[in-house]
Amino acid sequence: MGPELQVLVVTILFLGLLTAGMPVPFAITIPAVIYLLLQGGIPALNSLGLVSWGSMNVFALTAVPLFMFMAEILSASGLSSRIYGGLAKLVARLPGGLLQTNIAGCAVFASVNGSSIATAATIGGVALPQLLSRGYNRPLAAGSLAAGGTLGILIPPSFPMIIYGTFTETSVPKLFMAGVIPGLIMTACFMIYIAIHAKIDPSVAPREAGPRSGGELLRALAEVVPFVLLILGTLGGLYFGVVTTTEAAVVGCVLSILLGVTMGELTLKDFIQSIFNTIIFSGNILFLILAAYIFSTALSFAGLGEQVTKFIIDLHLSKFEFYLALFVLFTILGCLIESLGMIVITVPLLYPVLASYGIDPILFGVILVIYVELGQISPPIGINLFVIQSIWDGKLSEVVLGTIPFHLIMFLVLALVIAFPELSLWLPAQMSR
Amino acid sequence: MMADIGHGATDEPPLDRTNSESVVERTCKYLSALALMVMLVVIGIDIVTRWAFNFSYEVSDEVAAYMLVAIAFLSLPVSHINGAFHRVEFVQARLSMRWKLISSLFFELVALVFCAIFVWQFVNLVRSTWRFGDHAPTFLETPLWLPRSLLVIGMAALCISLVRSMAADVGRLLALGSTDRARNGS
Repeated sequence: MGPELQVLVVTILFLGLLTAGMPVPFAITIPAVIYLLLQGGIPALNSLGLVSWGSMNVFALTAVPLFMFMAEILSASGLSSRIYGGLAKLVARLPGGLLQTNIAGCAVFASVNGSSIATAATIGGVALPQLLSRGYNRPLAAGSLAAGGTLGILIPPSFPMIIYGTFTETSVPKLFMAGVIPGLIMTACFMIYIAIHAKIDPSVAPREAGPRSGGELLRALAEVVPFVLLILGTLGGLYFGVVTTTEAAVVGCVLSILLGVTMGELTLKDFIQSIFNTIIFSGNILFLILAAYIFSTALSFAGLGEQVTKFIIDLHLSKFEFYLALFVLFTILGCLIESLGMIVITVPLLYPVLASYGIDPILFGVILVIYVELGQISPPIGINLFVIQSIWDGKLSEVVLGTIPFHLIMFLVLALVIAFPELSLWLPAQMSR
Repeated sequence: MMADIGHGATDEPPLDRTNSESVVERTCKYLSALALMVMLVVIGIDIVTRWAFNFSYEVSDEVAAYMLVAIAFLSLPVSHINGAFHRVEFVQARLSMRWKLISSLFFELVALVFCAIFVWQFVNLVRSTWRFGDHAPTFLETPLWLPRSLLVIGMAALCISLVRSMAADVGRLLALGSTDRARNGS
């Protein structure tokens, strides 16, 4: 079998297994192992042991289960749900009412967890019943939650950024900080869009009352305080160089436990269940990372990565054309492949090309995450669409329809980040270390 | 959190991919939970001693990384048996229950073969580490065969879980067949 045919067979096998419903980590690992076998026979498999060991014996990755644990504690203690109630009082007077709370709630919750699925599910679970009972426009309500949930991976902490950083040896704290300003811009753009939409067509969102008294305002602020403390303790520590990413996650876990006990309803049973949930969901993400390393090993064993890099460089694309090609590639991939899988597959091939275009790896990390966000609300497999659909009684088409304007806003933010790299790179440059 | 990506519209109920945890998965879950707590405590103590006494144990990075290895591999059977691995359900959602079960069985069989390859390679790794007496180049000088054994244990446990879910799928298929026969007979 010729090399081109081998690549074709393995690619078809990968897409076949993926779309047929094989668990994603297996769908990546199996074609990679077959490709290794085709290239070097049985001896080529000897690298699997050391690659697997090397892929997980990485201190930086300890942040993944720890940040996940922090989010689980917040959910179990009920603090995640209460943030919505607090924010509803603070921002619901804006045009768009509770739809604004959806976005603000997602942005705040995104600051304490690294997953868009968890963000959409947590805020969506609290918000959707209220939105529907109060007569909010259904597609807009669902769309704002699906899109708002994607902020979970742009605003730090972010699992895709930890994986990208570990894989490319890029500073994870700097990646985190690089996501802050684009994340805030995206949040602001989402909220501005909702306000304009509600002004033009007031029927989409009833007017909501703000806090009626000073006491109510204080109670609303009190619901937000735990999250402010957590954000200061984790991201603040990272920004000032006091803690590393993993240490920030540990600080976050300890603060979450303390806040859960003192301000929430965390019991010992909830605590133990949070640990078990963390284990169950960590297994999935860590297996994907393992699959990524095996995939990367298969590529480098055959020299395929170098060939792809050479092929792209030989195309002599301008920087703009390269970004355009990325846009086409990720838009297609976003419709086919699950978010972390997208990073796992593309980064080994694209990362070596960045230097020839003078693209900062930190900037590329942010661009990649925005593409992943877009993929998460792209039909037919955008996961956030299904998270929201699973919480309500509406049709998937309504959720998809509701996300279309947010798609366009995300493209706009993506274009801004590409046109003005300082939006991403300024904050990391200010960090203490 | 959900593990399915891309449901489609169908009259068939989705296939329940969770199975009850056996002693294998429960043991792995408790060990992983212990590893998570050890990781939290070890890094936490290091942060405190560094801030308060300007002193670092210099072992927290190494121990925490071993705990991550433990979580990564020992959580595999737990995640599998709880149906937590992400999958694209776009095609699956359009299949009948019989074909969902048949495809599930096929995927588990293929996964089992490849997991067995990994177990074989991991055993080779541990054996060679043992034979050459490899130690971590750190203060602890940990004999590396110890943490590397976690790879074998976790992957072997995943193999057992895969066999268990295959047996469950076969059982469901047989039950489906007898329900169909009973329906046709009546």
